[in-house]
Amino acid sequence: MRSKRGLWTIAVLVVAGMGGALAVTGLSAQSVKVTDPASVLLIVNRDSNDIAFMDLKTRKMLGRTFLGNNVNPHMVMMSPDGRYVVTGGTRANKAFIIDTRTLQLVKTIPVDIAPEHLAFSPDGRWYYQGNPDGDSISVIDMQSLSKIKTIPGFVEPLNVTFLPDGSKAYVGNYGAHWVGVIDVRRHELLKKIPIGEVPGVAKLDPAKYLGEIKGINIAALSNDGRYLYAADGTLGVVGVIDTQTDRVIKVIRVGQDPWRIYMGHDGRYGITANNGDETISIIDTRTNSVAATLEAGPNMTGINFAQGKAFVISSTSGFVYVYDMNSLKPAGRIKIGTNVQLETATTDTAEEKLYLAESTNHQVVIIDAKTHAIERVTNVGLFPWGTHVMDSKDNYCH
Amino acid sequence: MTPDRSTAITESQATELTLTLTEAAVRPIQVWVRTAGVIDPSRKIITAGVSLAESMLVSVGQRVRAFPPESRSRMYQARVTTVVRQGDRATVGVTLVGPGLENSRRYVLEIVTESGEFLSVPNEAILEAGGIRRVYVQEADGGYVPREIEAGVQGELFTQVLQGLKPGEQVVTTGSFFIDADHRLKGP
Repeated sequence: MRSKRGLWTIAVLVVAGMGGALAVTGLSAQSVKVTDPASVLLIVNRDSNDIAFMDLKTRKMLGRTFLGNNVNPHMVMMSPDGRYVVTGGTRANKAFIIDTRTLQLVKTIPVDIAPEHLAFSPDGRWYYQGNPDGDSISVIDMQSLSKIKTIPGFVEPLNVTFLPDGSKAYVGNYGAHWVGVIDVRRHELLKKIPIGEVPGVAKLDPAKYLGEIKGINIAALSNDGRYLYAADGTLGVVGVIDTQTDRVIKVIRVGQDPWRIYMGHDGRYGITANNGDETISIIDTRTNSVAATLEAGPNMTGINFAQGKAFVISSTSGFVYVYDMNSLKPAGRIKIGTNVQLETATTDTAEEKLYLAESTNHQVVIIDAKTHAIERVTNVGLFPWGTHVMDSKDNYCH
Repeated sequence: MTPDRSTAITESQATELTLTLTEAAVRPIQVWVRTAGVIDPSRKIITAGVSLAESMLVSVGQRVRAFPPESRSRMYQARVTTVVRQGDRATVGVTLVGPGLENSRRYVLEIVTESGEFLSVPNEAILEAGGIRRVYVQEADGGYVPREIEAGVQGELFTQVLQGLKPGEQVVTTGSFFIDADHRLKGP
């Protein structure tokens, strides 16, 4: 989990970004490693500093793209057109762009401090890279493959969520209690939306409310794209934001220290992973109220949805907890291992399998969402930290 | 228009504009054919109509991005499974990789077609007026000159350049409108 970091405000305006992406043309059959971008699993290997590409059908490793020493890639994502794979190197303060077909690193772009989470605009034109230690978002133009702007003014920005029409982007600030609204046309911070007031009790217990802030990880979209749900860790609430007015229309109390909210694929429910009391809160998005609070495990790092179930990753227990999303009741747990560290997972687009990164043994664990059977793919790289499948509805990172 | 007169941009103007240059280069161009269709009761197969011209870009196996209008924030991956041409129209069958959303009958489809690799520039770089398309090209001295081009395939992000540019030349993308206005304001 994260900790509060120093506040930096670095406003770096970069102009006249040079193009110069290496055009990959006239490719020989040998140089093309991936013909269909939807057919691969991307694996972020934090300690071997590479992105691995695994064929989803055969489970064979197609190749690994080394990014450089001490890069520590954090999150990986494929561009909407499938042409590029991008990642932020947390220790390198750089963004990396890989050609999906050849697995060649085609561009390295200096960004701000400690880049982690990222997102593409729906049209694929912009790649927003969050820099939590730089308190900024770097704007990368996917046409010129260059950084055109750095948007300052955030506080430990983690995840970025674009509206479906691409007009605005919403940024969760883990070091604060507000969601930032970016005007995507101008790439400027338009507004700060506070999710809740820090209670007056802060005066009595400043260590709790004014010390290490565990704010907002992500503002997750409802299925219709109208509302955002943003969980605040310290406040223990989820704020519902109307994206037409950019105002909070409701504040829902959930369990203690929600890490973030994860939206179910049909949009009916959102679930917060409450690490403070080791529960999950299931929010009914039709009533914007908590429909169920259920026991879960410690140190939850992710929730995936498939086959009418929610799979909750408890990173230090070695278990994935399963919940039936029709009855809203527990449906067992899956033992992944003993003394293992589970990271995050993605779900395939058929919603049949989960691909869970397990960093202790450097493997990806494939969970059959129907039967709960598991299969292991070993030696994927050192310290696999996250996975990604193109167009998956569960592409996230911790 | 005076094709050989260069427009200079100051550093502060470039900063204000976030002036961005992109190389004219050979790139794969994608054209997304957009349509809408109806899903069958199994929630797997969507049937949609496209024009005959559009259908010539579509073939079985192509990747499709699908989403119900009421669920715009969730993308469903799909593949083209049938293309039937009849008269000036065609019917395209698309199969979702996963189950479709319950209670959603209609889906918006974006069929991703690959047109090939061409010398191209970003769509945003091209200014069109009176049927003439031009781009602003960076010169060795740092100034920008307008250049008329002949465009071919227009893709999602890039447009093919048939004539007027050489690979490696840098064209203005973000900020081209400003440079064009400045160029016209200063006159010949």
